[in-house]
Amino acid sequence: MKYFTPELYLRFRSPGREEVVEAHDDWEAAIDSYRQHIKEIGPSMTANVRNLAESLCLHDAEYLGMAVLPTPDAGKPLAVLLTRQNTSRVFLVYLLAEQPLTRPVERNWPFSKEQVHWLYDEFDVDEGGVQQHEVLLSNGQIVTLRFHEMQLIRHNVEQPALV
Amino acid sequence: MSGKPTAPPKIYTATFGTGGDVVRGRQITEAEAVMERQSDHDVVVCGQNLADNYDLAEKIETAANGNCKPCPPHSAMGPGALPHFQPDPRGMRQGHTFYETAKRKSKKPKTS
Repeated sequence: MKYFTPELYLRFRSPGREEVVEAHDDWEAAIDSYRQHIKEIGPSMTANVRNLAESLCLHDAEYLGMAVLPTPDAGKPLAVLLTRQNTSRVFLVYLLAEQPLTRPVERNWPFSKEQVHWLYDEFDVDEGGVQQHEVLLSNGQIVTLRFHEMQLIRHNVEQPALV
Repeated sequence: MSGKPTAPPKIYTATFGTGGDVVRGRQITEAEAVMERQSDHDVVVCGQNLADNYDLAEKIETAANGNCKPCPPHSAMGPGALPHFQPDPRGMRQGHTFYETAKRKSKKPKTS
């Protein structure tokens, strides 16, 4: 995470009120910088990913897990992130460029590790054109997915598709 | 933080508008806000001083639900999205205690 870093997020829990106020200012600056970054890298992203980078908001969605599936003909695996947001299940499907990475933040994590949910995320593209999605989860884990293409599937569990 | 004295924050019931906006309803007391939160309803703390708003929002959420955590707005939400406190972990509880910042304000309800 380059913009919505765990360190910045944890400053919202600083003991001093001046630090907390500064964290709010720095968060606003991070939002502005990130939006500018997305504009700049937009042409390097696929259309799907560009749209998701501009609009995807799974904040507070329940994180139900990740599956990595082999795709023998494509040579690269698929990853599926499953979340639940209100009455919808949201599947994020990635055609991976490499195996996903999950790692803990490098600081003590003061928040609950139960009932894991989505906090913040950001997209990026490297110089080789590989796209990246990083997600900070409420249990203090960061999931990094480097991929070629990504799709979102939203399924409303209370209004299943008509057959 | 400014050294100027500011009026104490006010608390309102709250609902979501469009694009993440938080729309304030009727003004309520701190005790009523705790009860609203215990009923899974949203409330919003409004005022000029961010630190005061933050402290009162945290106090309400803690009184209502125990452990809580702050959540600044997500980048994909609109300019009317407000930071908030919510239970940690969520448990079966819904809703948020929102608070205003210098840049982010709740919206007045539309009058018919």
